[in-house]
Amino acid sequence: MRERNATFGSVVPLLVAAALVPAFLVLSVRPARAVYQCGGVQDTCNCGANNFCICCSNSSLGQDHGNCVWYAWHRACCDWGVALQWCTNAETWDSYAQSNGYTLLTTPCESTIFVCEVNTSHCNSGSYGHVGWVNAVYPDGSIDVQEQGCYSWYGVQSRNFNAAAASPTMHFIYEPGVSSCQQCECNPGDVQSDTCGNCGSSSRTCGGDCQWGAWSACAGEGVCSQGATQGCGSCGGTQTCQADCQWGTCQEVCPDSAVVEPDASTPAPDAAISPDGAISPDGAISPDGASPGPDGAAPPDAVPPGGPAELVTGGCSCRSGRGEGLPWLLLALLLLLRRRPWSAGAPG
Amino acid sequence: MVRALPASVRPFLLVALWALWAPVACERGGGHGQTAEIQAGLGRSTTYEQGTIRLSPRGAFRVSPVVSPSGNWIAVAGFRGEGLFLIPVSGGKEREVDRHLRGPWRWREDGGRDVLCFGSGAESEGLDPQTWEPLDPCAPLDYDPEWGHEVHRVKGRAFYSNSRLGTVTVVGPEGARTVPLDPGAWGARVSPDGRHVAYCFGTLARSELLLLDVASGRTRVIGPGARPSWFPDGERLVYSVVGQVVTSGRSGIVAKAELRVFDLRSGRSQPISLGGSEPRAALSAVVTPDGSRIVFADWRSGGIFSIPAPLRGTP
Repeated sequence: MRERNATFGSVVPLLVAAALVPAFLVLSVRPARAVYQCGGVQDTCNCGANNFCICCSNSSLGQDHGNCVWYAWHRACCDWGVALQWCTNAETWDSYAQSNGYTLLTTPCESTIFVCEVNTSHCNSGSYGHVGWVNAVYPDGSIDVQEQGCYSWYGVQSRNFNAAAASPTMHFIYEPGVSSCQQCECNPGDVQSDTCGNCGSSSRTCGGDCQWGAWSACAGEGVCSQGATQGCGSCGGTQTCQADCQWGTCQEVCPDSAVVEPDASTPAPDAAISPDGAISPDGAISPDGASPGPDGAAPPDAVPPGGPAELVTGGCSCRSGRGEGLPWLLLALLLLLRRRPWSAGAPG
Repeated sequence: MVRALPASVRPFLLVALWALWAPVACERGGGHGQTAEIQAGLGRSTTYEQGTIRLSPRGAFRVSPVVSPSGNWIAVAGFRGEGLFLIPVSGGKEREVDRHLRGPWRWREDGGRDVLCFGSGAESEGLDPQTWEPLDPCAPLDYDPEWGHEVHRVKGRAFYSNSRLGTVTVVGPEGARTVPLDPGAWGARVSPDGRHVAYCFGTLARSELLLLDVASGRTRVIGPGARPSWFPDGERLVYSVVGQVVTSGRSGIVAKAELRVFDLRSGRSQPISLGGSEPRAALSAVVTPDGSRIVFADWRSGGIFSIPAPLRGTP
């Protein structure tokens, strides 16, 4: 272990000491000391103590090629301004951190020290565990880290690994005074809009806390859901909800084959609503709202926005639910009751 | 029976019978019935222009999509990788497997059936997404302290990745062969045929994508990129290029990332149109088993989206 001590520890006669006090105070603001380096990184940060961790040396990897604990200690000194009280084997850092009052969580956060137990698969920690510095945390829980290794490589390397997958066996030592991690969902000030309901739109704004606010109420909606169908007219016709979420013309053929003029103003009371999205008859999803061609190519221009599945000309909408016949049945029964043709209580 | 009724009633009865019968007849109509069923399943999907479909529910932040072996399901995680949810590829309502899960999860194929393996213990739980019934625990993926963890198995050969040392080890009947990549090489993805390994170097924000030819041990640089995923034919891969990272608060976020497809045959890389007018941070793209679509997570909106996979040679 290479340790250094830059303090003035010698015993000095009181008179001499009194004479040197002003000079000592000046020096103690930034102790003059030899710069120590490990893996090409120089210990130049001021945190009140010098990096007392060992740096590994190997003939093939180079003199003082690195050590994960040296680098983690160094980053805590530089980024937190804190001289950690320990520099033990990596797998013990979590317990030492806890016993020294540091917050230790399984939630990754930027500017924390990650600790991997022995032989953790996702950080390939080896038989002494592993520690390193978390530079960034992403929305999927993965983290960008910087680290050194003992007898592994020269210098500092960066990588990204899936902390979400490894977190049960990973711990994160937080900066003193920080007990939780708030992570950004978005850029403050960003406005995001999206479709909602029946061709409506709503938006939300990214707040100063870099979290999305609530969605605004859905505005500008149409009267129906694109692709939905409903009964119309007087001969069992059908009309389809168009791309603008407005009902299209009524398509119907009366029993005597006389085509009834379109009537989009009288929808049946229990119209069946089909969900968003268009589907080709073979079940393939048509992402652009139209039916794909047989080879998945773009549909012909002649196909209306609602897609061919909604174009009903035979007076029988196959997209309607069982409830479509109900109004006719009720109408028939109503008329039946009004006429009372075979009422048992009718006067003879 | 009809004749037993008064003549004036008969027409109304016929109308009533027709009203009851007509919808049933329609539903029996082959393809039409199938259409209606699938449309019902599309309840929560939203269709955008240029073939982009949002699969995850709005308002929920979802990441890390992984498509099941059958191609019928997508497993996704919640914000920061917390929670596990299932979405039908055809759209439809998302189902919650475990809201608070933090741990590895993966898909496994068992006799043509999808099995979702999840949990933080040595033996993860198994779940049939179709029936929602628990299955036998899944055996953990192999781990070797030196080789790293198993990432792929094909044709009797197993691939291991050690991201700390930056190595890929191929274990087969002929023994184990470790190929050194770069120290810190991460995100190794083995092509379905086992001939190539795509991997990343650097941080996610400034990652470089490289390609290893397993037989020769040679590597080539594809360019800036991360999170590669192979097409089923093993000749193309889709990946993300992070364009902008914003740091705010205690964490950096990817504000913009595009998807590109690299073609091994032509050696060319082309961007994919993601649809929508807003910039996207498209990460963690995966190709469906049939190669027809690409599913990705948008880190800006928190949505999971599906787009048609480009045909060869088309952007």
